[in-house]
Amino acid sequence: MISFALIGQPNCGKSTLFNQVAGYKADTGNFSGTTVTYTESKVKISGKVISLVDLPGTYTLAGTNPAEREVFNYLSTHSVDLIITVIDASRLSHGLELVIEVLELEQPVVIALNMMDEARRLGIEVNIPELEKQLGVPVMPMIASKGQGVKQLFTKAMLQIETGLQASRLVYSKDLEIYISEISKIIHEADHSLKAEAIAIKLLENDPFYTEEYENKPDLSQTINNYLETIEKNRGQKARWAISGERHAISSQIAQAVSIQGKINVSWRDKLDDVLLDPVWGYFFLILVLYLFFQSVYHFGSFLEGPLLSVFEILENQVTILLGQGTLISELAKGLVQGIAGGAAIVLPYLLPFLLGLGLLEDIGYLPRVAFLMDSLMHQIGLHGKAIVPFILGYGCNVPAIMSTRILEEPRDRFLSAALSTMIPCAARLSVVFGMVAFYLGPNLALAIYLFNILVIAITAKILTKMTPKDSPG
Amino acid sequence: MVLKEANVGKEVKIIGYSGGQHLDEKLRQLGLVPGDNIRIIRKAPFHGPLLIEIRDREIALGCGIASKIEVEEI
Repeated sequence: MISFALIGQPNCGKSTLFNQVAGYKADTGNFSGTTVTYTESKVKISGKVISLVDLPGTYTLAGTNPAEREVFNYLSTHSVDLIITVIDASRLSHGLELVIEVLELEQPVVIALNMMDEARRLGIEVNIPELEKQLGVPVMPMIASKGQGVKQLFTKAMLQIETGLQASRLVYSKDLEIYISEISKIIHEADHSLKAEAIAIKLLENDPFYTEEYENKPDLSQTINNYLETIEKNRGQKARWAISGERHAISSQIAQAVSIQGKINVSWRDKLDDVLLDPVWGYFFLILVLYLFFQSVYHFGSFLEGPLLSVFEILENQVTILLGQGTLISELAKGLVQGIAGGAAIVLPYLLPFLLGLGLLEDIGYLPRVAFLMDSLMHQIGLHGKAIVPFILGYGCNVPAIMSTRILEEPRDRFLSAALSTMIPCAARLSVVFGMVAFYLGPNLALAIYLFNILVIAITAKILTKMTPKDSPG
Repeated sequence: MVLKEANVGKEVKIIGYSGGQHLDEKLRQLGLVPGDNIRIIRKAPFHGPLLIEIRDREIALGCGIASKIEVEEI
């Protein structure tokens, strides 16, 4: 079966694209021996069934983190027939760096130029035919979140496979090209799944896998090390930075050559940020939003809780009248009514406005702004501002909160956030706090419970932080 | 000076980093390469993060990282 791989940097819309075609029917796989996962699904295009693999988002193929290693291994062993590289059109030069790396693999490639709407909003216009010319592969514009350009992308991908065309890597500076050429001469291409030049570049970058391979061949290894030293002497930096610097420079050049910066539509959103992120007004607004949120959940819920409970009380009485007082069947029926009453009259009236409100906050993009404002405070308890997102989600349900810790890069941060998220009172606990404490004892006590809970979490976080020392920068 | 010390609205050029290999790799992956220009859009109070513009993107950097990036004014 034909298989496509989706690769792209984090937040380029790759998974949005995947969900557009694969929906929720995807299977999650796992690279054996690692905890790195990928999702796979069967998709029908032009009447044929193909396998689509969504690889984890990576900035580069040359990194040392496990996800990057696995993605590189997967692609270099030709496990797929075509690589779809997704890039964010509004951040073209950064995305192109990954594209240039993918081109080095010299396999069939199609570029999905996503988020065209974002680019347009920033006044950026991309000359697609010119970009295709510079890269030598098809470039398909797309707005994955709206489903636009998706069908065309896959149709093009199928065509590309039929032509059998493979990408060609771009040419680097003269001195680097000489080294690449010299090293590729001493490589036994037949022993590997990648072309000699691609391996040469990887060796210059100190790629862990290939460097180890060649360490077992002492004289070859010596030659390679000599080249690495020469580059470091001539360029004034390690060879691997020289190579990534090369890609950086070329991607800047191409991005400048193909994009036209038009008038930026300074939308009301940008002006709003001046308020939302203001050193004073930002925090004022944050407290206001959270306070309003809390109050509206409370008032909406308590407005409905009383009347709904009365309805169920009436129902319960009817059951007793119908089935007789004290009989087994009437007790069972009453239990059933009370159970449903608990859910419908106590939980739902608070849960619905809460989840709607949380979803709204998430969708309008307020959460990253919260992260920005709260970062320094979060650092006091040993976490980054981003970690506030799992905490906020935790008020809805701890499960998606723990799942969202994937946005944190360091395993230590993920562990801490996930562990602390379980202490956040989720919707089930919310219904006790609102439906009982607030309802019978007043909203202020309910608020006090929440605030006390935050204090306890902060103290716990501080203790846990001391026990799990950080080893990463910043 | 370090990035953290730069004023809002200024444009600076990255000269280098003062950290280990891990920091080097992470910053390059984010697209912060020596020689690139950065514009500081805003700063959060209480040693909070900086919002910077680099090439065509806006990213938020924690003040810890921002104090490890060497820059010079343009």
